[in-house]
Amino acid sequence: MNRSNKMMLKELMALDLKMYDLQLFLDTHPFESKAVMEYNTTANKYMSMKQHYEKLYGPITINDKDDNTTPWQWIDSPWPWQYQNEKEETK
Amino acid sequence: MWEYEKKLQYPINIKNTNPRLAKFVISQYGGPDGELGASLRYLSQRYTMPNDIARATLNDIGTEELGHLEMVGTIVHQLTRDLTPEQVKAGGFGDYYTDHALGVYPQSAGGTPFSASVLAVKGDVIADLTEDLAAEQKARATYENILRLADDPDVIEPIKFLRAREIVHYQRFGETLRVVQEEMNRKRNHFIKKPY
Repeated sequence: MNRSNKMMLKELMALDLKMYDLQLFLDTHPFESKAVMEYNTTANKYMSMKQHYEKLYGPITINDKDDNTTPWQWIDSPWPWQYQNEKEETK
Repeated sequence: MWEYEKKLQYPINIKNTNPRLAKFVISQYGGPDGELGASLRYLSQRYTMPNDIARATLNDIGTEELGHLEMVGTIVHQLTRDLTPEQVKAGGFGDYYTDHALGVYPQSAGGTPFSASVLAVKGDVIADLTEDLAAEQKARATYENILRLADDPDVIEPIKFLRAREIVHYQRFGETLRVVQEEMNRKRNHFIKKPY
């Protein structure tokens, strides 16, 4: 996993965490319209960045794709528990 | 149902293996206040929650805990990956290794296998939500114990993240309990069948 892949994934994680945190907040505050708007803005950013990331580095989710190619890409990119060492990768 | 996202909730890249530390961290995988118990507790309790706020909170926090289970499993795996038998022996990991080699098995730091007895499902909203508040505090305390024992920043950062999420969950459960109690007061125990 190279540096730009790692950085972009980190940004995606940050957006995703913000969404999840807002989701839990909205579960107990369903009438907070400011938080709903914030959720929508963040989700919009997340979706476009995710699309861009997946084009470059492979799918994060597979259930929302209808443009899969052969061989099946899902098994190709590293799994999240695998150690992502830049030096090892660039060998 | 659930859909898998091929990413962690927070980045984990542990450069140096450390089997001794892995044996402490594994308690949050399958120990008494670990993420497996947390997830099963909330996802099992959600069925009898009496209102929309409580159902959503239990469902969504239970789901996030599954992501935390994956994070803790990742830490354990990366702390023990490719260990040689010599490193296993030197790191005090031989007892675990004998039964599981380098597999990630849900157990406590003391070696007790995961048990559903670490969680309760009472079918009573006040009992269940009060249990959940305590569970989040016990998980926070366990992460703080681990932070006192850990010396690797690659491990400390994700553990600090997990600790912070327990505090958020505690907050949300507290709000849920308050909403439920207000509703019970208004409706004079409308959704509870009187057992007497």
